[in-house]
Amino acid sequence: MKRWLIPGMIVALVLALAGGGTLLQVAQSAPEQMTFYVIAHTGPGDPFWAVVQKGVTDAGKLLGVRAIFQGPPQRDIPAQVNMARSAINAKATGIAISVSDPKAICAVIREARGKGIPMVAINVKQPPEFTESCPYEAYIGMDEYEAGKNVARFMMPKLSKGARVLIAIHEPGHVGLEARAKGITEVLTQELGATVEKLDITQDPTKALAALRAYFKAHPDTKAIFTLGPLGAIPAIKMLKEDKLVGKVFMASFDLDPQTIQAIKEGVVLATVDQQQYLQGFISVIELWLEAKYKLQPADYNTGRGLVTKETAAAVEALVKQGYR
Amino acid sequence: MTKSAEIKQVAPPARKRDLWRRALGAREVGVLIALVAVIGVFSVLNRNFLTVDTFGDILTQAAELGIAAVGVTFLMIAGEFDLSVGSNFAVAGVMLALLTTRLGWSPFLSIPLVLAAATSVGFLNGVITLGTRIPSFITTLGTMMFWRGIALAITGGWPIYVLGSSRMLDLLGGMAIYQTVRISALWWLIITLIFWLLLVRTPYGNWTFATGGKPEAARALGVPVGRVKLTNFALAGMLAGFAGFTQFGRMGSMSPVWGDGLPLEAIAAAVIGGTSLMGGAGTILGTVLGAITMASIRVGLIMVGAPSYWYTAFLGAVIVVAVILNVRLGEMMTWRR
Amino acid sequence: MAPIALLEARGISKTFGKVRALHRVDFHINPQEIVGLVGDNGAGKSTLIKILTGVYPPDEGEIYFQGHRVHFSSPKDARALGIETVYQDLALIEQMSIARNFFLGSEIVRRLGILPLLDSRAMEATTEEVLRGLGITSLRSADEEVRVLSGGERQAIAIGRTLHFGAKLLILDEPTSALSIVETQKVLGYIQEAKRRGLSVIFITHNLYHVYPVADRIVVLEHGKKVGDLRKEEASLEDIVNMIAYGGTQA
Repeated sequence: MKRWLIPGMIVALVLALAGGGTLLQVAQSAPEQMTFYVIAHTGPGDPFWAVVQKGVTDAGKLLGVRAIFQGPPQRDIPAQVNMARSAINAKATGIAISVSDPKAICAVIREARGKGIPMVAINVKQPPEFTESCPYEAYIGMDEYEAGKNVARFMMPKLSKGARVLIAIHEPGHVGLEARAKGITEVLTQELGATVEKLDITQDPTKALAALRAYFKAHPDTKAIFTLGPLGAIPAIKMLKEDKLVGKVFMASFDLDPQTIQAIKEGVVLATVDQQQYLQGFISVIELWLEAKYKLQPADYNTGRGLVTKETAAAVEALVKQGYR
Repeated sequence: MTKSAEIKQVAPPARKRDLWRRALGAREVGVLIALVAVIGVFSVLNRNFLTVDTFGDILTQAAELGIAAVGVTFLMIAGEFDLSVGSNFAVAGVMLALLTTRLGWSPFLSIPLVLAAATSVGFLNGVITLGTRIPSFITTLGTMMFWRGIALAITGGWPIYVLGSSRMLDLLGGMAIYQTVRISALWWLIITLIFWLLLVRTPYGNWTFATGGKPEAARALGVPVGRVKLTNFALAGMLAGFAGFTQFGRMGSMSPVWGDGLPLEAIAAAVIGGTSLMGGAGTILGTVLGAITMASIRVGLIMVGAPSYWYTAFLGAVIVVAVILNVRLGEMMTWRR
Repeated sequence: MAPIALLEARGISKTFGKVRALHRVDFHINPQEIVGLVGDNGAGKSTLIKILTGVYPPDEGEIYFQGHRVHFSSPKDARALGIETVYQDLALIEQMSIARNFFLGSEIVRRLGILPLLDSRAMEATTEEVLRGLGITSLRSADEEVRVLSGGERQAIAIGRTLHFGAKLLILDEPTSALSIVETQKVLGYIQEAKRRGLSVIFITHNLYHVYPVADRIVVLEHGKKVGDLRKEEASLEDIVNMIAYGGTQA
């Protein structure tokens, strides 16, 4: 009995590895197929990225190619870089990547291009102040900074001069989120003289709720709250409802998810920026495929389409449920 | 002289079998089997896996983890843990980035300074742990959060970029020395050699084993148990800081949120490589192989197109299998006498 | 007769709270002598030993080492004079090799620049030599881990270590309590060999049959008092057994 334990376990390990891998391999492809990777800084655990993943998968099915979405469970740039490098080593036909960290990601983009692999950027692009070469062929996503300004302008009529405004940031240091916050802050401070404060609410909803409550306790005069994505919106909506602040505190957010849309229909949230991320997954694969197949040069694609408000919410909701918005 | 000659005469008949037994009984056997299995399977699944490029990438990933894991292994052998290595990693990287970019200090000044700071962070863990007699799992859980908060506070949450090319970054981790093999792999090799020597060939290494194996016995024989632990805490801190440097070097930017999963991954690498969670046993080579195994799984899964979530599940399975292999092989070697 | 005793204690008393652990106990051990210290649990054996090795100071009484009055303020002082104690729970680390255990804290090194490197070959050779000298035949290599050794072999390492590092008095606390008969015989052999090489040994046990074969003298403690101090030539095993059983008088 004892004698067979070790060899048995080795065999089991090999079988498990082989079995798991083969299943995936068989399910997904024959080896000669084109393979496209879409690599994000966060994975489908975030509802936002689940929609991108759907776009990627749908495009792959439509075209009859392997289209693989990859992202670390939590925002993790070094992990994203490692994934991209693995995709390069796997000789991907084309790669789409979020430029979540210009220095690190642009280095990967340069290397991939050097090896002749087409690259496009999605979701987050190279920030203007970053001057190193970042040779992606196209950007498929929205302009974060402009979107921040846009939503701030939408909210301005509701606010009085010098009002206190809170921006709840759930991932400090995230280039895209910080750019959104910057857009909001600039508009409100320059055009309204508002006091705008940024609060790190973390990605944990319980901690976020506690942080928000604490802030409102300390600053009951806060007139508006901006959240920068569902991870911030969900706890903020909960707080506004539970603490009976609806109508007293105006809220706007970014991205669509069932809870935010529901809150817009209820009037808890006034507006949310829809960046139509399905397109970021779908179009990037399509453009990379077109380049691989017909040498068609990828083009920039603006997925940011303004705001979803109470008037448009119902129509959008049905599509959110299906995972397209 | 004559006496040692006598002994040698007695020994030879057993030597050959001893060598074989020792090879099988070595703590690294479990992880070696796991690594060979992992490489074998991925090579079959994707022809591009068994290439120099892939191997270089695996080494680069393993190096950043592995440098910190070598320090963690040393500390674990002495019977203590450090969960704050990830935060120390971020603080060190961020401090070096701040000093060299915003303040424009020379790297020759900044690197030793920040390395000393990282060492002090580790040392402080030791002082708190030994002073309060609270298990290091708890004290370093506290310092882990504390230093992570400090890293976020001094940067305001923003990553710090080095624009343009930098000789310092190239030397720390950015430069490729052969194909995709980066200089961090070389640093890792040097660190591994130094610490292997320290652990296996010096009285200090002997004391480290004794401190983790049976502290009362070690103390009774005059081993300065407290000092050994303190030193190992400091060494773990220093290596965590240096690991932060290599990631900073490779990425060209440093974010205060990086290195979040490092403490548990470092412990995982050590445990896969045969280091005991109870202290008193472990090898540097095992940890190195453990880190390479983990990086191979990560790279391999992506190359075969598995969703990245598989990595965590897979790694969990490998940890359990490797640990069982380690324990069972150890027992078998004892019973066969 | 009366050679200068190696270690002598006169009129030792010790009380813990209301418990009188020792009452005016005289004890001595001569050079190259094996003394069995016998008595039931709670008779005061370990208190006496802890006083002789500097763990506790006595309430009353004096200690002389080679004729000179000494005051031990810690076990270090006793060890500095060459008094080594091997407790039941041996000071050996299972996962480490025999040689590394043997030299723990006193490693043999060769310097490579500033780096002190272990001289493994010398340590292993010395360990093997010392252990073979004690009469161990089963040892394969000093490179093996201690956990593969039997209880008797482990005692041998502790005894050998004391011998090698130049101690004069070895105190063994219940060295045979967890051993089989065969193993016990072996350990008794090691003790005799240690004596032959100049060591004095205090052998603490509650089992007279273990110590009688090797002891030169048996000291019996009972309820904190010395009730017997017999040279082996003067008393048979039965005499001593009777003395313990009936609380006999001093011979």
